[in-house]
Amino acid sequence: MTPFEKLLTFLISGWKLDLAVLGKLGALALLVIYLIFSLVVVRQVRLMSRTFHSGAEPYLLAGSWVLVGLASLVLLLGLIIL
Amino acid sequence: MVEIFKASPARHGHETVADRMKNVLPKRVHFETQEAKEKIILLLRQHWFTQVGWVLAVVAMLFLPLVFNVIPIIDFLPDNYRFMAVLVWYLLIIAFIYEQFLSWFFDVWLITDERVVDIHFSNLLYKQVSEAKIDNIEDVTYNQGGVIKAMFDYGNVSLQTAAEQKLFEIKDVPSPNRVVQVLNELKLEEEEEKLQGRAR
Repeated sequence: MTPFEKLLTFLISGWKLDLAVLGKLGALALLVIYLIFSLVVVRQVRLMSRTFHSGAEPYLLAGSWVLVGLASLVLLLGLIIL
Repeated sequence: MVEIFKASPARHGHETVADRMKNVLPKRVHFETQEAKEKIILLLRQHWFTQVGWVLAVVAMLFLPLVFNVIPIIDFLPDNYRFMAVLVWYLLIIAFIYEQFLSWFFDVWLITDERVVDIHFSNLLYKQVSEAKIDNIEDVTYNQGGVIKAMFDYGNVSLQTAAEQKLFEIKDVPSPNRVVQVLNELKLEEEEEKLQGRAR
């Protein structure tokens, strides 16, 4: 066994496919993507309001911030309970 | 002298469509490329009935987690994962509702005294603004096919224009006959303005 092969064997010796860890990482990745999506929504509501304004935009913007708040809360909850 | 310029055009025999409809003009509405003297006559959105499809889908989605009580699809997951799965599911539903509502709310047609503007947003990332000058409109027609459209009084209005974009379609708007009537009145008004040399 060459030193490089020894190194590889050493590196993978502690590995084992842990579904729980994979599941947790997957769920957290999903929640992070959701948080990014909710921030995109805020930006889009701002852009849409610039294009067309009818007076309801402050409420819609507030709604999109509520979405960001919910996404953050659930991400936090995911970090705690998963 | 100043009074003459401040006076309503109606008092001088030039009653415009905007003057006639001043009680029903959309208030506090303006758009990005609106000119200073341009008046919005109609603000059109798709009829509410066209949104029923996704609303029903949402209702079905709301009850989906109850199915998990009957059919044990996610029973192999630990309790905390199951709880998070249901929470994420409802979060996705909220995002879907909000996205659909925003797409409907900001997807509008504006008929001003100068032009027809189509502001089209789809899936939050795509925006298209097209317009047709009233004096470029050659022909206005509407169609209202089907029982549902007749019952709820909505349909498509098609504008044939002389501009590069030949056909302009206003889809699923309420009272298309009224929209056509207003567009014809605006066309006439624009022609009159041209004849009298008042066109902007």
